[in-house]
Amino acid sequence: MKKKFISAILSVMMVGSLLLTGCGGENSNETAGAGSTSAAAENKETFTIGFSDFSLTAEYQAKLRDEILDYAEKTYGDELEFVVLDGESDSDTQNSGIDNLISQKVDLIIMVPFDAEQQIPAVQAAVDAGIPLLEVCLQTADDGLRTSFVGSDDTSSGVLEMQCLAEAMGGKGNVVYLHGPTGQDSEIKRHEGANQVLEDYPDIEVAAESVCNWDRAEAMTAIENYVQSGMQIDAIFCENDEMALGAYAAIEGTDLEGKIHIGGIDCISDALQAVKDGKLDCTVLQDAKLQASEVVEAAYKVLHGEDVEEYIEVPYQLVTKDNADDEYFNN
Amino acid sequence: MKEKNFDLGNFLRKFGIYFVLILMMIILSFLSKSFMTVSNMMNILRQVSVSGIVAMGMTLVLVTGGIDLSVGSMIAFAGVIGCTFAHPDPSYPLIVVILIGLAAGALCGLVNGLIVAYTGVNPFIATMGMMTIARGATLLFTNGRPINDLSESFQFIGRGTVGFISTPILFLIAVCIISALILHKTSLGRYIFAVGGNENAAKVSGINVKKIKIFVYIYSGILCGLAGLLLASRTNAAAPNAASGYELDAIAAGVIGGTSTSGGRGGVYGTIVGALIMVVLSNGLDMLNVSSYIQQIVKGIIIIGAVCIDQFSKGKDS
Amino acid sequence: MSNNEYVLQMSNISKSFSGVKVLDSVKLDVRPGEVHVLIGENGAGKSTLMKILIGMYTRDEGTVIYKGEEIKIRNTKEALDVGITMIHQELSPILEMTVAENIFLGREFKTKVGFVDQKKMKIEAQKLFDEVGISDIKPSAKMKELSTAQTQMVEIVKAVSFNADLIIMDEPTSSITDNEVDKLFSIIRRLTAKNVAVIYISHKLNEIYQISDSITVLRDGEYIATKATKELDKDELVRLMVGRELSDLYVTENHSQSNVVMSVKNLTNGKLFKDINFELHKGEVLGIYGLVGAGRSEVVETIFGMRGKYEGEIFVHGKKIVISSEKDAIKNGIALATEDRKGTGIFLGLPIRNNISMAWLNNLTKLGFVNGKKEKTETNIVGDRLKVKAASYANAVGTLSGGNQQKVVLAKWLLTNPDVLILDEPTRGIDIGAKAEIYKIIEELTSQGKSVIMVSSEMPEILGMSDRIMVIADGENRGVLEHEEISQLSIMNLIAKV
Repeated sequence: MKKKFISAILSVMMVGSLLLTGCGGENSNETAGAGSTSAAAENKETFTIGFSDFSLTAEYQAKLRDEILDYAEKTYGDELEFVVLDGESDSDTQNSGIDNLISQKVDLIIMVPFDAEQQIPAVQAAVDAGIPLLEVCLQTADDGLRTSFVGSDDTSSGVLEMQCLAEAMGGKGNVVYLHGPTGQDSEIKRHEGANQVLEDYPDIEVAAESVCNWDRAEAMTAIENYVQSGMQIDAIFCENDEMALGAYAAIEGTDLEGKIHIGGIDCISDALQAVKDGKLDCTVLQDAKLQASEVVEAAYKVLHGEDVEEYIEVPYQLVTKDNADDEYFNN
Repeated sequence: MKEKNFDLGNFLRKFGIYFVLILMMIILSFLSKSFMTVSNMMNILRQVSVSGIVAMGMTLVLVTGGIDLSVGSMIAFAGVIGCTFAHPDPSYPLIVVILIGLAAGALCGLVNGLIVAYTGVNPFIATMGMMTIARGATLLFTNGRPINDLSESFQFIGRGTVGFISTPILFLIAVCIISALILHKTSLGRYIFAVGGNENAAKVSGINVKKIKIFVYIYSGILCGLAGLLLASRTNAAAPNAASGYELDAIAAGVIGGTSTSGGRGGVYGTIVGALIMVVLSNGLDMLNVSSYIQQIVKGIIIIGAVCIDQFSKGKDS
Repeated sequence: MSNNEYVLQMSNISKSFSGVKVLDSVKLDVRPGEVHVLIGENGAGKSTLMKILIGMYTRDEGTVIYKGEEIKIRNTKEALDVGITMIHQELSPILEMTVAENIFLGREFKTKVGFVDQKKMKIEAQKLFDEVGISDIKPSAKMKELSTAQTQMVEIVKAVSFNADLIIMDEPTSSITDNEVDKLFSIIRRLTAKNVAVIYISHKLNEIYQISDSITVLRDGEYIATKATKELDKDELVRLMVGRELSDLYVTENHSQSNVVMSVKNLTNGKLFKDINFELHKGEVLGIYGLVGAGRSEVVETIFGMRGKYEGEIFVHGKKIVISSEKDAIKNGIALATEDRKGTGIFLGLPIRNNISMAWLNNLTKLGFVNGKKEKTETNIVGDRLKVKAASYANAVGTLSGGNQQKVVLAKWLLTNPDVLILDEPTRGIDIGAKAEIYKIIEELTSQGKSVIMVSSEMPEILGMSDRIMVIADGENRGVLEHEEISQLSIMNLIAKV
């Protein structure tokens, strides 16, 4: 509730600054203070951490932010203070946001990069300024610069989903493949993982592919059109859950309902419910909670001069009807 | 001394677009057996319903010489506001949900209209501001997460059928008829053309230019509200990042349909054909399993081609 | 056959657009150092002929011999290269640039390192101004600071700077004042003294007789005659142009009645004008005369609600009215056909019918819907009454000639059935045939008891049409001349009065 209030005030300020400067492209700032300001009284050292997420409008990223802030507050109270920046799905915006964090002299930066290549200058700038930088969830291509990457191997999410669908199909048939935005790192890796599995299944054919930009409505339209064309579809591989739910909506209520296997990735709450209801065969959990706690731990260690691993892997987990009711997925 | 001969530019502007659509459909029906089927035609109409409704509002705005870049954001905004009241428990009557959605759109449109009419801020800038504001407000309201768990009755407006016709198609038809009546049969419609054709002359003719401008932006907002509800119902969730880029589709539909971006010329019939062309195109190309990359190129060519025809015919006029 | 007597000989020029012949075997011979007027009603083919000459159109047939050689000009650049330039009616200078920069646009002087040499451009521009005798324009001034007349002077200087031997001027006096016309003529005389030929397109007969040496008349795309100006009297010229006798251009009958329709008391609007008083009687034409910038248009625009708040009082039929918008004015039976037809009069892209009904639409609707049948009937009646010539009222107004466009504007206002019809420069830029028709319409209206206020800067028109004349100068009412007092001299005396 408090966070909502603070973010409301800051959004009003954002709108104000927008009016003053004429138009958009500003970074939206949120400061999520961790409790009272009595840190000094307790004579503990406090640190400011800049968190730059490429987009806070993507559901998973919003969740990751919440988990990071929650975990930090619960575990370290007011020792860690966060400045949260939204990169608005734009490399340039994210880079200038990080420049701002550097000039604010934050103690450490956590970043979810928008682009594997274009965010490298920002990493370099942080390193030059002597500010340690952790990448979480997504990573840049230059792994020599950053202090550490906390994340899951996207390739394995593709592997898990395609494996599940391939088995459900009995090892043969037609699959329709729905892509996220072309060029995004996670899209490329998920695709890679899916392809690895398909090599083992020569009888599964990719009947059609479409770029649906993580968007539910676009996926729905594409699948409606494929269904209309009379194409034989046995399974739909979706690179995220939103598209999987769109694909399901396209066949819901038609003769094909229940005859097509659909899988997604991300384990958003809608998709988890759909798996429980048998609408989707599977989703894959990118463990935001674990990523959040690992990155906060790593940050804490770095701030106190301890070494951390260069790559801290947080494994993906396949969610099917069998395990969908586990408490772990339902918080 | 006046030319009374066949004027190709004028002819193309008036009817060319219908031929393009018919030609496309003929070609596609040869290429794909399943294209020209009743169920696919219904499918196309269902898919055009949301973008078509938005394009109707955009057309009125374009005819006044304005532009509304905020439609995508208003769709998302109205969608999440409306869907907040569309849960099964506590349940509100469907009409309440619809009215709230429409009101949310109308409110954004009113702000657009007031800014454009009274401050002299260029519509491009004013609505671009609203685009960011409404999107931001949507994200703030939802905290970046989609609103789901929608009631059965709400699902009806986007997914139900009346007879064998899907409800969104009925909404589209209703909006088309209302828009056509407003623009082509009422004095209000005349004034909309007048404001876009020559704002100063409109004022001198005793027309309340400000009122007309405010009206078209509110109308656009209301239609976005309806579109937002339909989209949310169709996809079973109101996503805060839904409908981004819809403004371009709506502008393209208008322009392909012969509405001039400089105002004073256009009509809703052309717009609906323009919207259909875009949807038929992606439907047909999807059916032929053509890659989305090529689809984008084809779409672009069609838009530029339409504007070229527009320019060509304008050159003939003067 | 070339003949050194002429600088330009165009012969047998024909041109068709989409199968319609707009020029049919037209000829034009121009001597060096003369002012040659090209005259004809709108649509006669003057502009087409000139556009062929400067390469904007290509001719279908015919020859152009320039300085003894046959030439084929393909674009305006080539025309400039051989020394032919045209000063268009609607000037389009680059407003943010200086006078000197505009003159030398595209051929700027450069310094050694390749920068634009501003200093030299200014000096050269000043030389050119001295050459033609212009003293009130600074080469360093921005174009946007200049008046229309001054902008025109700059265009002329630009033409001179190309060493043009032939300058075409398309209605150069259509938007400048009498004083400025005198100045323009003195410059033209300087040019002709240097053997530069000027082709002068104008509708204004007085000017033509003042400045020209010979006249070529075109009608409906055909060549009619070329005569020396001094051998051609006005009546004959008009007859050649319109193909019929036009004995009485102005209608002078006085229909004034004693009752006052509108009265204006101490009308003041900021710095535009102050303390304007007048009464308008039933059935009269009240002329308002003033030079450009005197405040005459501002007065009528204030009365019509276009100029915001005013001080003073306006009465219609003895009742005081408050006008805060055009809508208020229309409601009170006032109509204004503005001087800027394209800017504030017509909707070029909209159908003729929609243009005519625009100000009266509220009375043609039921529950917001336009009653198409009623609209058709009423617009047809008023359109026919004004003899609007159009194939169909569904066509865009932009397809009509200037005179017919003006009639559409009048039709729009007549439809509102106004008590006070204000016409601001009602015949600007339209041909003599259409002018005569508009005068006839005014006469008809007054005979039916309508009252007309006519603002004009054309002296013959104001003298010919007005029953009384109010003279405005420097935003002040200099006096009202009663019918018997009207003369050019009395008007000029009022203007000169301080």
